[in-house]
Amino acid sequence: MLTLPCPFCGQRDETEFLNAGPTKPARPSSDVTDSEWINWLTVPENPVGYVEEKWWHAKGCGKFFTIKRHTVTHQIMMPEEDSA
Amino acid sequence: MTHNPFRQKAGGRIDRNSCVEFEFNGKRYSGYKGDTLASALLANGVFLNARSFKYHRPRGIMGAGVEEPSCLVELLGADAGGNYAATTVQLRPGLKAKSVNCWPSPSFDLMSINQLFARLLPAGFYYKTFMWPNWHLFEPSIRRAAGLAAAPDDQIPYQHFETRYWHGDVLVVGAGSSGLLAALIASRSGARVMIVDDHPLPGGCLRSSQTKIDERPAIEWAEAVCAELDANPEVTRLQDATAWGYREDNLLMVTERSPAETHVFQRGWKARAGRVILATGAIERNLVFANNDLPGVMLASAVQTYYHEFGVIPGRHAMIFTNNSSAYSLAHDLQAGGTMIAGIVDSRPSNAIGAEKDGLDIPLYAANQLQAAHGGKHLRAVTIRAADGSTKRVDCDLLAVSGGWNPAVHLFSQARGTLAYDDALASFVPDKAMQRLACVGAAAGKMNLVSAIADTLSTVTACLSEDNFKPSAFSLPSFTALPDYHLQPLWHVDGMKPGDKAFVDIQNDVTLDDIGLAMREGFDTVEHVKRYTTAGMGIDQGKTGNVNVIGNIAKASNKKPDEIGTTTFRSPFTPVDFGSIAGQRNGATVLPFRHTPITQWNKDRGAVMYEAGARWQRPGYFPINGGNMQDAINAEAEAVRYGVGVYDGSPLGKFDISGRDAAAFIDLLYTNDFADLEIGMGRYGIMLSDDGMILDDGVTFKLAENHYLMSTSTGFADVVFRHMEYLLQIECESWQVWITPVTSQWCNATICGPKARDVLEALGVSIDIGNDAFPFMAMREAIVAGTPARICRVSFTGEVSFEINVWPRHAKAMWRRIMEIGAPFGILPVGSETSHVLRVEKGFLSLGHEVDETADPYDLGMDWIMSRTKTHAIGRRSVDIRRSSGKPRRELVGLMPKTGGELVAEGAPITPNGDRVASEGFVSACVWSVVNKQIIALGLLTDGRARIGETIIIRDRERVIDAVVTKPCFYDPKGERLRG
Amino acid sequence: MGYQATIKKQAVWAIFDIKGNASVVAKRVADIGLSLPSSANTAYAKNGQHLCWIGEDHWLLLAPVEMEFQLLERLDPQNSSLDCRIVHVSDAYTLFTVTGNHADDILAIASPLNTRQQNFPIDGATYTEFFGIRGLVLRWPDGYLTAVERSYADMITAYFDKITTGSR
Repeated sequence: MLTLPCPFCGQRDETEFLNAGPTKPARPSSDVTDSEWINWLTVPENPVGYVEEKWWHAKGCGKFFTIKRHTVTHQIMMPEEDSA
Repeated sequence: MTHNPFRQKAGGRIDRNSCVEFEFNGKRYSGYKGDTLASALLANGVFLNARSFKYHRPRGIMGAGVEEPSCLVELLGADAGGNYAATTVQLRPGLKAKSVNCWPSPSFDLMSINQLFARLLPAGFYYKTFMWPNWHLFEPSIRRAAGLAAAPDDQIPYQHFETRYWHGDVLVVGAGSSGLLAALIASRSGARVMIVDDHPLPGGCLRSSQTKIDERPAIEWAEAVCAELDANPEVTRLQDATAWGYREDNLLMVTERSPAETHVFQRGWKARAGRVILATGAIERNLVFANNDLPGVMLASAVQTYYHEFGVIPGRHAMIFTNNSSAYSLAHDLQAGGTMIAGIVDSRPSNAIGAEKDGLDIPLYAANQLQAAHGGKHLRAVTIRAADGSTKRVDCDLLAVSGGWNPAVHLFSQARGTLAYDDALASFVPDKAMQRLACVGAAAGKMNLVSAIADTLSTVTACLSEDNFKPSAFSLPSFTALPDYHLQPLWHVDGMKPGDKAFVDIQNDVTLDDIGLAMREGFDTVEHVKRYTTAGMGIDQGKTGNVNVIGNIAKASNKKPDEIGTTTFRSPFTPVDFGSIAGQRNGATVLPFRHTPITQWNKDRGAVMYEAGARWQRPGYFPINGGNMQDAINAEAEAVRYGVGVYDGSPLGKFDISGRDAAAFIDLLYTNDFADLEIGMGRYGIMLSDDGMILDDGVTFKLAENHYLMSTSTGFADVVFRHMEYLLQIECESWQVWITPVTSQWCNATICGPKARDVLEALGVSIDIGNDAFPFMAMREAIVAGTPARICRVSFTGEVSFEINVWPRHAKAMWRRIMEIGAPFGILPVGSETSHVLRVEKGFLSLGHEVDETADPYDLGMDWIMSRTKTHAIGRRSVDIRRSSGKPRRELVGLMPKTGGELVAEGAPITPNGDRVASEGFVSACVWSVVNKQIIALGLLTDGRARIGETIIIRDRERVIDAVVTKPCFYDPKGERLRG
Repeated sequence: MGYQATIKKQAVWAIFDIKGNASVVAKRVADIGLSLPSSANTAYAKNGQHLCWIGEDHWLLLAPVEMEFQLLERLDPQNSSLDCRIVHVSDAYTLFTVTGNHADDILAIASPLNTRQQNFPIDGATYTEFFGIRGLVLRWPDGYLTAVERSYADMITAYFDKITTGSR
């Protein structure tokens, strides 16, 4: 069970959070093609390595925030940190 | 009177004044307070007490602690539970236990017929044999035959389990010499410390060692350390507690079996520390020779433990077989205790055997191997094989075996740490740690006590400094030196004959031949061998067998063991009661539940309670005297249609939404237009998820400019809240919108039916509630029966309805008043069964029935709710794309099934011609309609709207039912009644 | 031996949910004589009122129920000022006090919150997990004050009974 760094509450137990999926690019404007829309909607990144994703502090302060999590080791870092 | 034929006259740390009676496999025995089940059985001479997993071979106790691979028991009665190693079960009065893997008893086991077919049951046998027609056909009977303990039935007496958290600086696993020292240093430096040990008493191997510390018996030093730790309020010391799982971020899962709080049966700890010190010691391994599983063959360290701890020597005539120096200390003990020793067989050459042999007066077979053990249900003799191949048979009834020591790296490995092969130890030791932890003592491969202690001091001191503690100077106690540990690997003995069973993994019944077979068939990596043979799986998790498996793979493939590597050690380290994981989440609280202020009134009235989504308990229906469920539902439904009813609508989700951009946000969420909604009015809306499926529906009222009260369905309130917060925080960051959940700030009693207005007037209401002043879909603030209330005119029943919202503190009084004032009007409370009937008659949607995350609004005939002008609403784009394909869709229809009185099951498929082929739709709801006096249903049917009037066929299990397709509304299609 | 802890379900308190820009909120609560707490997940306490900073732009005011009508008048939650939002939520919560020698143990059973002083200070107030649901936890003389969504109050009571007595 992870601990996650809530920007408001600090390090908290994973059970207080809900995962809200990988960070998506900005919502496309209405003039994109259908296939561009479908791509935005249904094709998330799924790397072996760091994935940038959203978490919701649902049982805590209610903040949605972004972290980078390694999909193999569960190492967590902040999105601005270098994951190279 | 205790008759323990294998108990020494004196010695051990049992309480010889407290006799404890217990039962094993239906027979009564006695032992002493301080015994384990295993030590008591051995003291009583019960040596055959298990059958093996696959072949049902006779087995006895081999170990003395968590490493025990064969004697697993099921506890009965108050302790009911399965798969405990007998060596870890504390003897207590009235204990009842039985062996897990034999029937009817270990000495007469019917399944032992498997032994005769052993040649036919090699590794992979099940995979190869039970392929046709499919494995699932055979699985149940195979599982029964090769099973572990059955789960206890639900009739066992209630045991209270508890789970709790612990947060601290240093968590030490193991209370042997290194663990105690680590805890002592950490606690003296001011850290908050937890130390966990799986034995009932601390000390680890010090308990059976002749070492002296500061010239006193080692155990006295351990006791003094514990006394100091116990006096420190920042230290939590747990004995008889196993750390069985190592999770991310230094979280350890610990099960405590003897909590001080008497109302707690077991406690699960989720303990998280800044630093973990693993002082888990080492586990002795077996040697691989023929019949090395026979009762009477035991690990040398286990025999030593039984002698020191319990005053038990489980044999009259002992033999020792070793490849290392550690087993000699047992010989010294047995010699001192007066047990006859037939000899020590040591596979090492005599020049490799050092000071450990000094002072022993017994035959030493150096450079010899023990080729085989002999006996039926118990050891009677062994065959010793000399270097030249000559053999000699020697009688004995106890064989103590030591194949060397494996550092207990299980937790380290669970923490993703990597392992390295150590040639001197012929075993794997911790290499690179992946979490903030350190291994000390034997767990780190430091087998020499004196140097291990010095290493522990420096390692723990360095960790504490790194963690910003200031460890004070610490002077080590003085230890008397012991002979150095020395070993020469022996992966299996020579000279075994075909058909000899030599086990590498006793618990999973994996033999040396099985390893060879797996490799010949191409399963030659360690992970494949594990899966093909099951070695190292299950409860054992490679405690005694794993390194022998790896060593033998290496030997067979002419590689070094470090080229073979290890498999992953999994949690739990030892079997764990589910109760200690679930904790207090059992019994009344096994599932969360939510009440309204009216819940108790409903129960008192005799309502049958249902879970109505989002954990709310609601009345299903109110039984009436002399009637069945349908009678009760009919009475409630008729009250609403022809008189008046009232239901508790409190669980409906409610959100207060305001802020500069609130109107724009409402417009983004709903597919229909809200821009022209007037203050004080509400509108029904549908919101979609991004993939264009219906997320929720409900009515939103406009309270003021940019201030709304949104209601959602009961079950999806949390989902809608998350959806809204996601959009606001991630996509609309610059918008000013505040959302406050107010579901529980308001309770509502919904009065509905043609006489609803009369009841409300009779209650006393401060405003004009005539249809002109207070139209359908309006909301008004008013005083009702002397209480401030918000009244909403919405209808989920198709009748005139007044939703009277009050603060919950007033809800019970309001409800009672409504029932009292309503009585002359024939008011009845209405349960969710009746609400269901009423909404099906009207064709109103229900999430989870018609709306199942495949339907969009067009499918439900709600084209009107898809705004023509507003294309940016969430989900709109996806709906348009999907519909542009022109593929046929399932559409909402009404159905008139011809069933002759029985309801059709919800979910029943509609198939072309009623054939057993792919369905063309399904029944989403089916009820008896009180207004139509017949069974009606709703369903989704491919191209349904074009098929009205057609007869389709429903398959309900074995029934085949004709139904006429209709419009999805059976009552007041123009909605005149609800607007009246 | 069981736990030495006293658990009391509280009658209704006056509670207001406040969202908005900190400077605006500071002005509104100044009207009732309160200041904003200085750090996240702490409470500012005065005259029996506790103003808890529980989220980025989010505060919860707890006050004795006798003050409710006065606060309703002064804070005027019906007035949807566009600068911040105050919602009257007194009935949406049920409060419990957990006090006594073993209050820390009870909290450790209920919640994963690390209540060591360095992590949860003397004026600590935060949302966390509480018996599996969301709950507010405040330090209180000799223990803690906790608040849960009212609909779960009976379940929380059942949990408290169970963990202190071992009853089913």
